[in-house]
Amino acid sequence: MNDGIKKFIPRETLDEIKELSRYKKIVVHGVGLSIGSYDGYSEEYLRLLDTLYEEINFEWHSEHLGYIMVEGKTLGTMISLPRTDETVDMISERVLKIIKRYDREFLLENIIRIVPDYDSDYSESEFMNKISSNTGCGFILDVYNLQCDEHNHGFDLHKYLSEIDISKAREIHIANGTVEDGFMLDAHCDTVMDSTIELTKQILVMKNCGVKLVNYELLDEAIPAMGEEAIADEYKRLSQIFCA
Amino acid sequence: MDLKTLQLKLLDILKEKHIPSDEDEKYIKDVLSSKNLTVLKDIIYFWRSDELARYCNFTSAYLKKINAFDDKVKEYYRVHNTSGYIEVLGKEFLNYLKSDIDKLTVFVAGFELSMIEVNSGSENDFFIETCYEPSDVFNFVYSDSEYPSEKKEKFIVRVSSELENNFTVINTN
Repeated sequence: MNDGIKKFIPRETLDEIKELSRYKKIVVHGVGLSIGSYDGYSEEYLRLLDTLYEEINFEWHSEHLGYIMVEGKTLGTMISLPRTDETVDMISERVLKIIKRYDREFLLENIIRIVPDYDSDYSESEFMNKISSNTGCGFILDVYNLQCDEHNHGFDLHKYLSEIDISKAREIHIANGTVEDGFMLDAHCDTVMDSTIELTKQILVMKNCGVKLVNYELLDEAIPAMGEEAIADEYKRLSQIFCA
Repeated sequence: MDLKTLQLKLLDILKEKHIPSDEDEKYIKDVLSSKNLTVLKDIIYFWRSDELARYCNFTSAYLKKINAFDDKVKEYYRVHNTSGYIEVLGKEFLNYLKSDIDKLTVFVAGFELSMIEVNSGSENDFFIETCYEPSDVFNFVYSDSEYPSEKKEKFIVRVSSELENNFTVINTN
């Protein structure tokens, strides 16, 4: 796939992560793999991951269960996949290749669905469980994305959580966003809502929950509007809640 | 519909290349008539605009001043393959504007692209020719001055790391 992405990670960035890895565990989270593109995932992204794999001893790595390109053409956003047998087979085959290539646990994250739902063979939970059971991959549960889907489409979030194989969840992502034309969007631009925190707490005490990390997501673009002090305060607040 | 067909049709819809017809599958008709599609396009344009406004600040400010920014971003997205990386997208967008029919857009984009190259470590010298007095252009973009008028003489802006502030204006007359 010719995706025109960056061909390398700057040396100073690698050195900074290496230094951090001396006293912190590192996990890798990508947005450029496009694992769901019918014509193949991004080899350029994997080459970037190769560099990290060679230089950094990361714990696990993860990507989004969606696609950002078609035939090398960038869509400009991430789009959710139809939950069909064809998709399950394609994703499973690719996940197995990735797990073999890096010898690290690989996680897939649920993304917000904006396009109308396609007539599917699987429910959202069945879809994730099937891919996981086919491949052994884990999950990221993006709690805010689940809340967006609940708000935007009437998605049954609690049914999903009762059906998903929670032992395979390794990370929870929490964030906040915006509301546009009545749609909740995952803009990653604000402090976390109380409802997101409460839901996260509920997940963490679920029987056999495999979550090891709660990740507060904030885009660089949100920093000027939020301010560094507010971000530091939010980090402290979340740390007190989830690291106590 | 198989995955290939579905994804190619969604791509065409987002790039405004799809021509609706009675032959469209029900799902495609649902997408086309949905508010979801409008939201999806808004998201795409919002992020491209946000990235470009930050990366090519001068050109974006100029285009906003002439009320052309949103249309240029949308036109660029529709016609070109946009990189997800701002360093790539920003340069490609400026290169695209260098072929614009508006001569002032061509100058502004060419100047900013050269400045980005030099600020990124390029040791090359860049020469951008224009029929606008560059200071008029800067004043128009960053203050309330009037839209610059074309001059009879030519101006060449040299962009180089050897120069103070990385650029100088040469009047050819």
